[in-house]
Amino acid sequence: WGLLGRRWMSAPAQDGISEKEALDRVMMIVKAHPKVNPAKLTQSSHFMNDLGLDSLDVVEIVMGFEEEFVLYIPDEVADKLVSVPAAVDFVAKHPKAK
Amino acid sequence: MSASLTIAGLASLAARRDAQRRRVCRLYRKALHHTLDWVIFREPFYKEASKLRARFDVNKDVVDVDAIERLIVKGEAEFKKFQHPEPYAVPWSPEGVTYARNPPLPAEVVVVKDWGREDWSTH
Repeated sequence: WGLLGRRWMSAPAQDGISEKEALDRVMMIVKAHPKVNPAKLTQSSHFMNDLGLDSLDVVEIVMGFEEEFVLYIPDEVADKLVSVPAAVDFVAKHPKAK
Repeated sequence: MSASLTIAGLASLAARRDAQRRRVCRLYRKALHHTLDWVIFREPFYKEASKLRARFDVNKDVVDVDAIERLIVKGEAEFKKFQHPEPYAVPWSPEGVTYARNPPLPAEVVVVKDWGREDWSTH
């Protein structure tokens, strides 16, 4: 029979994504921002201190995370996502990250 | 202005500016989301987002706290006028359509599958 398991018609298990995948995708999104210098971007970059970004640029990057991972990020949480490790931590721990 | 030159005055000024910075960021965030709701396609959205960012950048260097306050109030009033009536929200979020649609069953409820027909893989 072609059906591999009995969940083929129901929603997939929502376990979130792995840390490595989260890191890769977060770096990709930050790199895509026009004001970011890819040479300066590391795994532990702080957006405002290391990359020299404005608070509005951080808002744009957080919106990029929301669209990429299909997440709802409330304002209070979004205020805290100001560095690459913070973002990777948040996304990897979120159960609904796609 | 003499009140702001004391240590306590400067601290409260810094706190006020911090609060204003947060308000501006939240206004920008909501405005960006609602712009995407009005302009559904990506390419026009990037143009409109650039225009919005340019409008915010015009007032980037304002230092006077009261002037910033006035600008924020004006911006929020304009946002209220032009916000989208049905903004898109991620389905499982509190503003989304499938919020609490299938909540997990309480622990007391035990689903007993005793006919074997639920186990499709045995077919």
